[in-house]
Amino acid sequence: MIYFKLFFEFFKIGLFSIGGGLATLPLLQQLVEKYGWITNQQLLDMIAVSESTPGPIGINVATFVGYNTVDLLGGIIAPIGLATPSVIIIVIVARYFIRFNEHPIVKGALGGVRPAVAGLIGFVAFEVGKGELVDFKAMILFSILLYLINKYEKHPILYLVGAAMVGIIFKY
Amino acid sequence: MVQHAFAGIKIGVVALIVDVVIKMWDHSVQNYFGVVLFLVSFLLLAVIELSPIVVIVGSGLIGIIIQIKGINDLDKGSLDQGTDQE
Repeated sequence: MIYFKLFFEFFKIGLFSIGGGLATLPLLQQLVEKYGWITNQQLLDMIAVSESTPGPIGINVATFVGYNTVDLLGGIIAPIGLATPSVIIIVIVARYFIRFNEHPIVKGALGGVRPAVAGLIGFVAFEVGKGELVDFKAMILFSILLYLINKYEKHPILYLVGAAMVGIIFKY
Repeated sequence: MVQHAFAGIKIGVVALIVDVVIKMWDHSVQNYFGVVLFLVSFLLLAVIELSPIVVIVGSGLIGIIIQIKGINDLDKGSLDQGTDQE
């Protein structure tokens, strides 16, 4: 049953998304390849939308995929599937481990997972960049944007609007 | 015009993702173990297309082993080191 499958797949993503925000990306990209529920292009568009609007990217993509591939109910079930593991884990953590982040096992696990997730997102960046940074003009805009984002840390929507304007003016 | 705007936006999205990687690197890769974990997970996805779930579980286990054996303190920070930008 498609609703069950949707719930289960996004539950899995929710369970293994450690490291905030874009940590869901490698797992979402796998969804692209596995089921074709969403294309790489759509995923890229969703990142642009998610970075410009409230709500984490995973929830936005889950809603989009559920609605797009099934129906409104799918659009409700998929984000619930994604959020469920976090709710369960946080309730357990709050109940039993007050200072759980000081526990050696938790410290060790997170210490190992964080650099790995950075590598996974690095791979997504590489995959996405391969398709977009195809010429000199794109590289220049990319470099300027990356410098500004890293230096000023304003809301992503500012950079995306700027990038859109540069795209129009210089005919990207 | 719309297509030019979207072409610009997509480049912007790539820059945002790369920025997240740079920030995660700064926060979480604090020694050679971190560098190795970063590179190995990148390559496992790139070369043999391993599932990210396997990489995440594996790296967690390696982190636990390293921590318990006292080889190295992988995690010098606290939980609120996240790079969540929402």
